[in-house]
Amino acid sequence: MLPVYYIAHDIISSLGFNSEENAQNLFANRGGIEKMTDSYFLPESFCASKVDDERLENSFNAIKNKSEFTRFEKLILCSVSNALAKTNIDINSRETLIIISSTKGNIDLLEEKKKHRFESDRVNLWKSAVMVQHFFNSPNKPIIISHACISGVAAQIVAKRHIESGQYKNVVVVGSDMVTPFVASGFQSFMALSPNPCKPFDKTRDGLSLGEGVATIILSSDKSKLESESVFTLLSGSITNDANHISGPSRNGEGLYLAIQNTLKEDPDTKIDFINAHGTATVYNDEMESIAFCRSGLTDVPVNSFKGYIGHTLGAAGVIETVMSILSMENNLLVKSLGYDSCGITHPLNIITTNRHAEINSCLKVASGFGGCNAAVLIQKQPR
Amino acid sequence: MKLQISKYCMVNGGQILIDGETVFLDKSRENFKEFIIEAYKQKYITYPKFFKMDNLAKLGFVASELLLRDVMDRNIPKAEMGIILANRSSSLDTDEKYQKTITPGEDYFPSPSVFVYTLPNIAIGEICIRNKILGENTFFISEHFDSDMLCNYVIQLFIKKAVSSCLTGWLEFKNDEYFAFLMLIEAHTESDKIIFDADTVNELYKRF
Amino acid sequence: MDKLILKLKEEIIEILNLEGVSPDDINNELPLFGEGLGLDSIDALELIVLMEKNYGIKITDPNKGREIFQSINTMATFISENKTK
Repeated sequence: MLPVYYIAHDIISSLGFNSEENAQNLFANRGGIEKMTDSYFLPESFCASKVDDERLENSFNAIKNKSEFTRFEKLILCSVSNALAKTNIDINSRETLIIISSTKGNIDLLEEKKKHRFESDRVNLWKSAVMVQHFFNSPNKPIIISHACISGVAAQIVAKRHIESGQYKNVVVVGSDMVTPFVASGFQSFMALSPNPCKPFDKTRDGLSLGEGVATIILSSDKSKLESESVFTLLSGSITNDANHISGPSRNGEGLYLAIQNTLKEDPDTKIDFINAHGTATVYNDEMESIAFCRSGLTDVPVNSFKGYIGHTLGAAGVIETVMSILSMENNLLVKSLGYDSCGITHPLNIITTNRHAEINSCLKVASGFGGCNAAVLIQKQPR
Repeated sequence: MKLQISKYCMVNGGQILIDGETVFLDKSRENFKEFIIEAYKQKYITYPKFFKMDNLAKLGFVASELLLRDVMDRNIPKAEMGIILANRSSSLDTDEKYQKTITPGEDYFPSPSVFVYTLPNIAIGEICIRNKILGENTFFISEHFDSDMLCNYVIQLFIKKAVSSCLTGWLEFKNDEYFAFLMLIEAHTESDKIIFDADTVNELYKRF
Repeated sequence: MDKLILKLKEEIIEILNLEGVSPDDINNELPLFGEGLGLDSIDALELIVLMEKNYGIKITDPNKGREIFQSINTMATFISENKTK
């Protein structure tokens, strides 16, 4: 079986404009969630983690091309360019596939004031994919995954399958979503937004914080492309469904439990050193995860959520948070789960409350989403 | 790895076909909603939550109901049944509906029951809930139906033993135009069934 | 009150897509959630929108919502005491 390696990564978020900057703020426990008072998003104030517009424009100008791109597309182009600069894979080759993960893409183009800025079909994800393909001169049509909040983890699993099939040698996985009035109002109508920065797994948690950003992961079957000191492998992954409710997680965590079981069964002796949870800080999600982790016998494994730092970045979450997990593994640093003070779940977990050094050779990354979907991936680190 | 199309369903232009045979025909309806509700009633489907679904989910639901009828009692392992769908417009039809509920000003009343359907994979979720399907599910977006990509991907799922059966196809809805092409894929055991590959799937798709 | 109750039932049937249900089918004391009319969490959120849109009553605490939405009667009573539209 062809192994699949993580050979390069990038993050653009409220914590910074590349992986290194994100790592610096993450390791210093500096969060990027702020109060949003601009009524453009919502009539009332709420908390979200935003990408700085000015910095985005400057980053984009550095790699600019004549055509007009939307904000969503600029995020993708900047991040993919950053990641490509770190490695020498050939984006113009038939051997390299691009996979885009997003829930809403250019959805802001449905707004009255933005409607006429671009052609009418630009709101479609496939249209953004065409723009990305042409920008990078890729001969292959990008694959697009739009599967709620598991999109970013699912995209890695889809990438792995495409490499294992022998069809492609490299896959550039990029996940992105923006904070928009569309999404903010929707979550508000679900009464799912906390008025304050979110507190995953905490006793006083009262909802999520929205976030935006983009991250890129380059996967390859070619070990020689690796730049890092260690070898990071995407060992296994699984996607499942709770078959219970379209917006509420299953009460016994069935889908997530199955996803974890499927992921771990390929190598049952692997000791998990770290779990990065979905941890949205809604009452129901975090409780469901604690049940699933408990059923899987993982209550002693150090676990955190990165959403206390950057909020819920939807289609970008699975990719951003995987990169943050890899950064943790690269530095052997278990990062504090920001926002957590005291246990608010019925099945206590080993939540990371302060940064501490530990040998992290394996990481389980999970995600869950609307529609009852769940996904998990297992990442392994080995010396070169 | 030899796979078969055990059964397939197509919904388009006032017709529903199973394995190429018309099982429901009604071109008289004013719009999709009336057509699909009529199909629901005439084919004796009973599922009250159907009426809360958006158009995309209703389309997928009726197609999968008729496809999986008489199939689900065959003891197919539900944790190993995958649902891999794709379309062009994502949930855009419902997105536009939702956008209207957030018109700035007096008409600003965000609707949670509309918002929940502003993700294309909810249509998959509804099929999973109805049939208790727990297996691998993924929703792809592409400009056109890409049988190469979809078929090769589903075949790979079988090879990796991620699924032992799979519901796959194209589920598209926009501006009252609907097209559902769903197939049930299983290991090839019946000689009279169509072999599942990009060519045979393209043939079926083109016929419509 | 009867007029309000009828109006409320019609609104609920329409907004929650209760196909084949008529106002006569809904008993005023019938529990709306769980066993009774079988409404779920998304329906509860949609009822909160209905309260604001049609009656100008803003409900910010979902637990308060649960009390108010117990039955048609509890809803109608609450509306007649609090409506601003």
